[in-house]
Amino acid sequence: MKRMIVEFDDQQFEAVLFEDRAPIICGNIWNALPLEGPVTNTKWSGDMLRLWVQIPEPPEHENMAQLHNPGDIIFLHKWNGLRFVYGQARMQGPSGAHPTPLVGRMLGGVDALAALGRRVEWEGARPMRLRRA
Amino acid sequence: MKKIGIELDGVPVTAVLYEDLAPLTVAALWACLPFEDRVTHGKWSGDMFHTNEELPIDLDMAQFPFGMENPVGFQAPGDIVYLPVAREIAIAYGEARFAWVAGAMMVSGLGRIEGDLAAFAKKAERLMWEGAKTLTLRRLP
Repeated sequence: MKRMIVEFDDQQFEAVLFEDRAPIICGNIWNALPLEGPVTNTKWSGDMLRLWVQIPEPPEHENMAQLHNPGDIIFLHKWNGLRFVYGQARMQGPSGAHPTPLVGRMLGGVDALAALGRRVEWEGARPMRLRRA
Repeated sequence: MKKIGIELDGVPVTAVLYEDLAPLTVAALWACLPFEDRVTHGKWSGDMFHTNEELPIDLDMAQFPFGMENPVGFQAPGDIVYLPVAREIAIAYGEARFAWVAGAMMVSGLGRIEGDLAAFAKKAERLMWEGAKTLTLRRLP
């Protein structure tokens, strides 16, 4: 099982990639590690953080999910990067909600992630680093 | 015609208020001015930001459809809207539609920014990257 360490604003979390359900996308994420970039909230999708990095984008749309739970990690074709759900959220844009590949999940730390989400909202973008566990 | 000055982190614009479409709410807002708050970028509504401190507006809007004057379901860049249940002002600066957890919501259309919105929109977009900024609303003669 592929596990990542999420370092975000001096805190550290562990996450797992769903390589069984989204093998190609998760493989691309794994091969791209370590990744580092700024994190902001999203504009349309609620309690969801966006990590602004570039991951090689395959054409496959694997493990599509329309409903999200706190802790979910989502890849989004075309806009790229990763999304981290920390509360009530639904991936959507101007044209409405749309399914996206669910590629992993945080192994705990959701409350701390939610607090960081609020901090980003009030204090601005913070850096995040992902590396292999 | 009531006009207000809006300044977001040093970037000023002027706006006209819809006294004809939302007379009670506009009068109540006018009575609150000047008003200053730290605004944050919206997380559900696209290119839109909102106040966080409740405006001291206390109106009984039960007789109006949707519980508000001039209910609108869509916003254009520069639109100024008010959500009575949260007593907050939101301003659209690009592609936006006021929404919350349950989806798009009706809000009270109170006015619109006049003139060139470009600098103001650029500053508003930075809220997502830089966090909360100061917004001031004041009466114009």
